[in-house]
Amino acid sequence: MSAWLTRSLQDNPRLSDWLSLEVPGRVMLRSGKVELGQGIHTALVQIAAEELALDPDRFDLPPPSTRRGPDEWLTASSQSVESGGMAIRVAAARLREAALAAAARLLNREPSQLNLQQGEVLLGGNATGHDLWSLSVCIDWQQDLCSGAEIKPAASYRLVGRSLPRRDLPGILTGGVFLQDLTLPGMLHGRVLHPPRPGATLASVPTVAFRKRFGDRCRLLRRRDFVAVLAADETVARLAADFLAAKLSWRAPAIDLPEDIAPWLKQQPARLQRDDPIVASEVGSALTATYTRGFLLHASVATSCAVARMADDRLHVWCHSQGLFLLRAQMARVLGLPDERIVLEHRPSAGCYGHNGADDAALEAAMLAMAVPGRPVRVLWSRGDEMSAICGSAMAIELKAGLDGEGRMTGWQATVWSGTHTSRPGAGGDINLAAAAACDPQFASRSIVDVPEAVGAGALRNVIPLYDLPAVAVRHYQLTKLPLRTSSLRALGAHPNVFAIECFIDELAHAAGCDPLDFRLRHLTDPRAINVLKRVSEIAGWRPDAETGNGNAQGLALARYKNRAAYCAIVAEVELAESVKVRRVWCAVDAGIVINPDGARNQIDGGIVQSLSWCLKEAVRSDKGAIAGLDWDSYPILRFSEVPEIITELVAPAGEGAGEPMGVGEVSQGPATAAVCNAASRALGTRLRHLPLTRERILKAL
Amino acid sequence: MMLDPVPPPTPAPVEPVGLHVNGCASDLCLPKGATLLEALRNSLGLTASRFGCGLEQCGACMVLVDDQPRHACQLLAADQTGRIIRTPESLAEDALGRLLIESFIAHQAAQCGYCLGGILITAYAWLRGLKGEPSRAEIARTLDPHLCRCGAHPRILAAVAATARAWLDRPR
Repeated sequence: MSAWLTRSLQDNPRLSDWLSLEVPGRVMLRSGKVELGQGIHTALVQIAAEELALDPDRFDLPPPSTRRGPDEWLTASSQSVESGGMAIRVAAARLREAALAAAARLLNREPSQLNLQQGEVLLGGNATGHDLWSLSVCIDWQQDLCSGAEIKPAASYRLVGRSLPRRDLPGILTGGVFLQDLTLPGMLHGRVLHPPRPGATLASVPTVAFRKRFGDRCRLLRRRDFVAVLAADETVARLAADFLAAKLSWRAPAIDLPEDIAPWLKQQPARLQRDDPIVASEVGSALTATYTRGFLLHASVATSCAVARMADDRLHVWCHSQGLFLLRAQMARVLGLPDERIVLEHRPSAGCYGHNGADDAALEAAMLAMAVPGRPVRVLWSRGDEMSAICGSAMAIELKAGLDGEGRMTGWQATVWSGTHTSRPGAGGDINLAAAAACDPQFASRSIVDVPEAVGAGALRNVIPLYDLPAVAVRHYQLTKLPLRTSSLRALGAHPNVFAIECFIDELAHAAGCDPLDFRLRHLTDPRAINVLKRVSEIAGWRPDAETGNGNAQGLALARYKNRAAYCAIVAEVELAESVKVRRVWCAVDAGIVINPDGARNQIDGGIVQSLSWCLKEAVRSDKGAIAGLDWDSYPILRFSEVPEIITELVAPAGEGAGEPMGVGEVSQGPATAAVCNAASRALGTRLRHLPLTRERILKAL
Repeated sequence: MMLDPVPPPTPAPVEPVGLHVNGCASDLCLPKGATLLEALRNSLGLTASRFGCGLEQCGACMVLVDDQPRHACQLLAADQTGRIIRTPESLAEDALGRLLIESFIAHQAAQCGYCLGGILITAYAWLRGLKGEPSRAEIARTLDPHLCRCGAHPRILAAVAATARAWLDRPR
């Protein structure tokens, strides 16, 4: 497949799927990729503006909607530029070609004699009287883009590669842009009383007491294990939900997550999903180590929200889903409505970092709206709802590798225990929407499937080391009955796998009596990997002779996201007393052609900060049979005082594929955690293998 | 699959509450128990103060009450009569607030930006009393009551530091 013929383009092959000229002087650009705070819409406009030689301010990019598409599946997996952006590049280039061809016909010239500047067709630098908008009627908007287009050479770029400011930031600073801010006339406020954890059933609902307290001011809606309240005013809805929450009684299986999670994970019901044969002698007299990460919450600063209205047999839902069409298909099944009677429209919420409650809230709002036809209903989750709905799976990774007499690795075996990294709507043919299963057991999820390896894998994302190895074998135990609902969390399995691999590489380097940097370089032949590794060690002042065990140290890590996207190498410097303090982080990334360097750095640095939070602080804990993470006190995340200085450099790409862009939203999480853990282990003089690196764990290791 | 239809709920009884927000006095009618955040967002349409937890833990709802940063999510609106309230929307009305907003834009100090309204309020209140150029650690300590999940912290710290320098160097 040609690099430019991406999934986004194949699924939406017509010019009109991406571009239209509806208002003179302006270009309407459409994308199915949603803005999650990653600045994607700014970058997508830059790509289109470059090919059309038109000022970015003259583009409109409406929030994605199922009303007209394009259907770009999911905004996930760092694919928005790689797949969506490249489709837009082809579409914009084709529009330029089509406009110039049309003008050439009208002017009796060759297209090559003409060019397009700020929408005007020029001949020898002079206006021709034709522009994009006047030529629009001559353009075949239904033309198929899959044969490609003449893309501008990178050397001529004026907009791509520039750090244009975010289009949406001024609006964010002064309010009013979020889904949570949407108000419709006559809007009612709903709150759903969520079960404390998966598998919980309602024992009793105090309907009489509720009615006595709230009368007609608040409706109580129930079906099986689904309970919600609906009021004309948000205050009343909130108070009613609080009143009910204190009185509802749930039958819920006890949950007990031990501090040492590896044996627990290995005991969970599992399906052997992959089991590569390995010749035992290839691993030789090997080192073995097990690494773990706990369950992590997405922990968005906003709580999930949706607004829905059912009118004239049509359902309109405003939501913050990452996959509008996937969600619509499952909502249609549950609600018994045909797809075409449902419109889902995206509005930004706070960053979600993967599959959080956005989809669940959308169905809840729809169900409530259908109970009061004609009236819009807004559903907003509580902090506790947000912290108990979905998490990223805990993982245990057992690594085994042999070393020969020259200190080279002879073979590698990875065994992974993990829950699924996708339970998005439709995954495995299941509906995967909590309210549907609560109302009707026929809608409960049955199949536990992970992200297929062909689309980047889930638990096995980045399980294969980047290093030259004579033999690599993978065994994958898919855990099928976890007590928590797990789904996509930023980087999926790449975070725990890179953490494990890169820490284990340090252990092997130590066993081989070799500097961790030299040991990595000795096993690398990919020039782009070598390049970022060398660059980060230069800017960080990596010292091979640094002492270990004296409380201060640097640690190093490297990864190529999904083994096929951007390269990232990180050095972290830590100070270790009773706890780990990260003082400074250096990072070098090769992401190919970068559309917006400042936006890319923002994503990389944000990924590092989030990763440090995961590494140092985060794991879902249980307490007396219940989840103990329902607020920010019991599930702390990194605060301002704990954020180190970060120095990130985008290195110039060279070699194979250097001209293609590669997403950076998930490139830094794995290396950042590994670099910190390696630094902390060196500072401590003993290996740390289990996340998070809490004070208790450090004291225990001391 | 559907829930059984219900008659729409009736409006709740309300009580009059006088609030002084962003330089304007407003007479509102609010249900008993309304928080200041609910009043600002739902009755006054001031949506730059945002709901994050309702527990005074994340700072997304921070507003100025008589010049002090306070969490609007747990303050009762009815108790705020007679106090001077300012929300992030009012910051563009004065020189320091404008400097701060311009600095956040210059540093592109955001990802999703959901937390920023509250952060601007705390930073603004602190910068007003600033005596000398602050260290990064001092700014960080000031912003510690605020959570940001995107990891925009380094940029936010840089934006506040740049505002502090510009504010101290302003022509007087």
